Amino acid sequence: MLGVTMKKFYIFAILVIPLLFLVGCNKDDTGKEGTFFGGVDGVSLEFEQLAPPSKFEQDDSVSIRTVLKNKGEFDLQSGKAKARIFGINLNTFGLTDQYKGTSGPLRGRGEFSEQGGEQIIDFGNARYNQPIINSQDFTIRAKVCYPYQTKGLVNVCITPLIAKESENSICSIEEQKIKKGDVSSGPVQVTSVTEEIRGSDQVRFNIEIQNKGLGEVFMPEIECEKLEEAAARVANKDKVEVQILNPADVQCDFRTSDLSNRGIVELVGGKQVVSCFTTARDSYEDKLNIRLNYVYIDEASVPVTIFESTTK
Amino acid sequence: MKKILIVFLLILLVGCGQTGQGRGKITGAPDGLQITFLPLQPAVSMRENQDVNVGLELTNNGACDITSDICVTDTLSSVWAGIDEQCISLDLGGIKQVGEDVVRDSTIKQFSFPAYRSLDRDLSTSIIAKSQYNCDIVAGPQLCVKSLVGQKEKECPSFEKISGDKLRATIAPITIAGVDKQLVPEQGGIKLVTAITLKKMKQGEIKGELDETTLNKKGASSALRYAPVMVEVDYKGYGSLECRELENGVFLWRKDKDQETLNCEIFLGNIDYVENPLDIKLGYDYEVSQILPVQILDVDKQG
Repeated sequence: MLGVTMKKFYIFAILVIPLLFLVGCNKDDTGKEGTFFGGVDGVSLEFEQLAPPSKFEQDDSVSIRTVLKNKGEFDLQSGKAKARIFGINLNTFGLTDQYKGTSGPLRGRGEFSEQGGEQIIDFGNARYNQPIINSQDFTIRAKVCYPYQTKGLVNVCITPLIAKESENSICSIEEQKIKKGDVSSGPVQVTSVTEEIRGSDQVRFNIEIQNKGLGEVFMPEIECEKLEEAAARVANKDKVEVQILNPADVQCDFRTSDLSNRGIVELVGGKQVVSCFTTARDSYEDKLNIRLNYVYIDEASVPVTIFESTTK
Repeated sequence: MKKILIVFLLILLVGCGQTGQGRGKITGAPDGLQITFLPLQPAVSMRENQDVNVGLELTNNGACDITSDICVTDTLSSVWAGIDEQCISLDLGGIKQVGEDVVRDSTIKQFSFPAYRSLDRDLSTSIIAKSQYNCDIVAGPQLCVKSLVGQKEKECPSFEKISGDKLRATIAPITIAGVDKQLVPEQGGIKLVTAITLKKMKQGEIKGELDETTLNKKGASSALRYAPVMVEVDYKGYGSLECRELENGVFLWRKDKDQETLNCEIFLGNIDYVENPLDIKLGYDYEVSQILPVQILDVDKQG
């Protein structure tokens, strides 16, 4: 009788223990398939819960705080990401119209911080100083402004025409070159890379750049404060700096400048295709190393209702 | 015994101030004090020597508080006694929003007059109940402005017609019926240009006297054609708008019109995207009346 029970125990142990090991050995729950996590997130902005509350009285003084979360894959130093309140007459609420930077760094998603960094910006207290009859609805808005970089590391095929036609090419220039995980998470993305052979030894890359976020993109290096001026806003809007780090001899047609591996691309309808080329003397696979630099502005809003004071 | 019962009932009714509650909003089409003759108070046909009791139900459908008098008079000569002008004080709170409901203040007022006497024939008269009260309200929509015309048109149109609920037209005898907004870029910033349409309720009329300067300027007969309405338009926190039709804050409302339009504007300079209330403050005297035609029968002739 005891022998039968022991036998059952051993069978159970043989079947179940390896299963437990398998369950514990989850392959990679980061969702990372290539070099990067990927995605279209940059720095997100939201109002902190109850700061402000959705309903309050005229005499109440309420906190206004925003939460910035870096869900992209680029690290931002302390104070680089800034936010400001707008959308209401700030004087009537006793709030500043100035940008306030983060007090600490905002690390992007990466090996050591899968969630990305988070910072709170405190705008102090708001108190409505105008008379209210019954109630008045407002929408308090905040905007976040930050410099950002999207990186792309895409496998490409460098091959001269002769190698392709003689079928001696070791790689193919056909099909879409971008694979999952080739582009880091950021609101401006490299959405397509295709290749074609021009002439006997020129390989051309068509790189599509797209603003996939909900905000607006501006020329890099521009100060957020400067972008509050209408003229500067118009002059710098929808402009992204594109830099090709590898292959070293890649030249791009940036339209407004000479052929170079670095220049400004203007997005039309949120996207643009840049054409770059290199000389192929041999047939080999390489990594197209792309950097997109830009300033990004996104918004968040919270509706509030202010009631007439009950204490008169 | 019957008289005691009637007096008792009258006392009960006079004390019947009440508030009504119903679903709705405190914004919408113009409305104000509503006067209703209570059934058979008086009857539309009365006999000579019969006591005249007038019962009125008064409901404030507007947002402004009413602190005034309600007066009853008739069109017949005092030779036959009967109704001579009598006024009772009237205090009714403005409508209030309580959650999903609108609370309305109403009351019943009773007037007792001596009987009509010494009639030599059947007579017709009109009993008039009227009240004149002052109304001050603030109404107006949220208007968005932005630094660049042509951009963010979906969020904040440069040309916009605001109507319906968005108007936040506080219910009152005169309120806002529409606001046309226009953003005009000018050197150094944006100008907010508005055309504000005001509408008065069908019943009643605007009262008030024109000041000396206006009478001198427009002539004495202008008092018959115009009534003054105090208007102040403020883009909350940015200052008052300048309105073409205003003189010293007074708008002259043509008495034969139910609707008038004011053109007001303010230069806001270089402004960021803002949604802010346009406060339209209106102040005026308004008179509402209700007429009940009554026939008084000559008892001797009937006999």
